[in-house]
Amino acid sequence: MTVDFPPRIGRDAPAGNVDRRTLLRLSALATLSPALLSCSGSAEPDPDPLLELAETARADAELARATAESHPEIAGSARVIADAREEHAGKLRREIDRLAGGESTRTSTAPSERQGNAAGAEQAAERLRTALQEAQRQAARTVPELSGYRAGLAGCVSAGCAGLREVVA
Amino acid sequence: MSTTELSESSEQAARKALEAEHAAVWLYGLATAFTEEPKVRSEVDEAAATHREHRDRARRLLRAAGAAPPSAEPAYRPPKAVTDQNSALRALLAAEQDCSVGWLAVLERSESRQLSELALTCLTEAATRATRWRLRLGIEPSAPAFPGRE
Repeated sequence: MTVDFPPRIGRDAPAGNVDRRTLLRLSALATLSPALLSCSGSAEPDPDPLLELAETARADAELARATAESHPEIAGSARVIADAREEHAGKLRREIDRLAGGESTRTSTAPSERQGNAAGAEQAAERLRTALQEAQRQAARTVPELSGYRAGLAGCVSAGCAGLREVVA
Repeated sequence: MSTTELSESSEQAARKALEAEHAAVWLYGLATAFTEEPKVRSEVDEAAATHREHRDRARRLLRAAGAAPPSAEPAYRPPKAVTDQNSALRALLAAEQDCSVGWLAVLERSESRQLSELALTCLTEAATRATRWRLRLGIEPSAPAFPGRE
């Protein structure tokens, strides 16, 4: 939109200037407002980025528990992983709920499809390593989207998964 | 190189993390004198190189932000006397934990992507090596769920 101004006439120039500035300001607002309106119109809250981290943590804990039961040779390590990933899921869940203001954002997922009884303990350990590596990367990818305590929490989960991998290295 | 300014709290945190890296570099140097197994020796050497790299990156980042990086102390005191490989590894574990705490604090205060990436890398590596030393020392749990917060 362009606004046409009458040509400036020497005598009332100062007053004319003020009007012009006001007008410009108003027209600037006018062009902005539709954009602002459309922004607030489609206000659909983004899902909390921590949600998928919590779900992965829970799935990993299940996988590790199942591994501990089916493979006694690596049961000790698997339990360390199960406990830590459960702690991750719990802490992430508390933070998600805190931000949601008590509103339950729980989304129940079907039991992990990663389960399934592999033959050897080595294969089972490999599956845990893979799961932890994926979890480490997933949490690391989330960090740049977050700040403050939440960035620290996601980073901590990522680093925790890296450490856990050593347990089944 | 970008000269992004750091907020006061993130600069403070980055300085503390760098101090932890200085201490780690020094303690790793001390530990090499006490390694008995070649495998441990090579792990110690590798970790020492990583800490030197992290120290240098932290230093560069602080300088680029116009902040004076703290310099290393002439010597550091390990929590307990180092007399053999085991006590050396315990000192290294303490150094890794200090680094984890330091870098997590940076991560929580960082506003720049560059600093946040460095903090996550350093936190991750410190957590990984701390677990390695715990496993070697038989300390449980070997891998705390939340490194830097334990």
